[in-house]
Amino acid sequence: MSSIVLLFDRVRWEEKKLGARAVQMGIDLRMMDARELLLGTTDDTVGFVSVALQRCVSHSRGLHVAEYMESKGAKVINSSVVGRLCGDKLSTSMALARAGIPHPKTIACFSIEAAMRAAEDLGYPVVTKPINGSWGRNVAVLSDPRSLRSYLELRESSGNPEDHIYYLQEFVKIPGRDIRCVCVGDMVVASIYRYAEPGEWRTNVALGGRAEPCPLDARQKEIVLKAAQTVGGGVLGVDCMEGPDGLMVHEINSNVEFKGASSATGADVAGRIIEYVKETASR
Amino acid sequence: MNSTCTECGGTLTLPEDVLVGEIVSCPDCGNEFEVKEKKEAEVTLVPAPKVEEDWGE
Repeated sequence: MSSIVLLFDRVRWEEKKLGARAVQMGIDLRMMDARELLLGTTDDTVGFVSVALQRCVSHSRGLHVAEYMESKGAKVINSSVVGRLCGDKLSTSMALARAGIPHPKTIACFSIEAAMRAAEDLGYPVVTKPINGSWGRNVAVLSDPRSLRSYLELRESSGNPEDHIYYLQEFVKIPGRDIRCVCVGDMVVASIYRYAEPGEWRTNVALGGRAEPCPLDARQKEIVLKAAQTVGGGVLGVDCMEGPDGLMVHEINSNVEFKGASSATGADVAGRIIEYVKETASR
Repeated sequence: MNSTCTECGGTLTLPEDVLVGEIVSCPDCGNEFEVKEKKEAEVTLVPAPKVEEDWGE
């Protein structure tokens, strides 16, 4: 039984493609449904795993199964440290700022009144995001103090304490698109422009954003790869905006979906990931 | 490879390479199902799990 596994909890286009490319490339990659596992901490209930490619769509499930595999000696792509850092937008912002990577001005706080002050400092319109979550879910742009306060009051009524962490960001005027870069190890394998759907300001492909190839210059590539290394490297989706002074990194995805990037650029993203798994196994 | 939609009775035609864990939709009613088991030419479908708060990239 192969000791190289792909951990999943839902088979998306990406997981299917990864499995198919592994077969074509002669890599024995075993599909392992994380929902079926018994994670025995004192006993070995899973069996020997040398390398695990962690692709769970549930962030918390993926994080814990990655940590478990690491505790049993497996190399995990991406590691639980990378997953934790990328899964929290505030942690990502702090890491990017510390590394000097261009990033939109961001303020976090814990009360509505503090958030109102933060917005005055950032200026309107202002962007707010949950510190966790994906696919553009509950990301909002608020145009004035009244609408911001209403939004914050709605968040305050949630029973989830994480909803009471307010993450506010300057609104960067972009040309109706952002840039998604898929990084594998020390390579940018594919980069695309993501155009927002008409009537939508968010560019997520999950929300209907359209993808087109985006050639990066050397300086842009350097920023993207530095951002990927800052969060610990691996297989990552680095999302950037074209700010007035050049490229800005606004978030990093540790469970990157790459269907749009593969289709738009023709790049063999899945093949490169499988190569990376193979390299990791031989290290 | 065919299966029957448990909601509307419609026919789902699945590709031969369908994998356990994959989500398929009924072409008639649009309901989504997860492939729970696959044995040769037979598949077992269950209602697809609902998207949760922590799902994503």
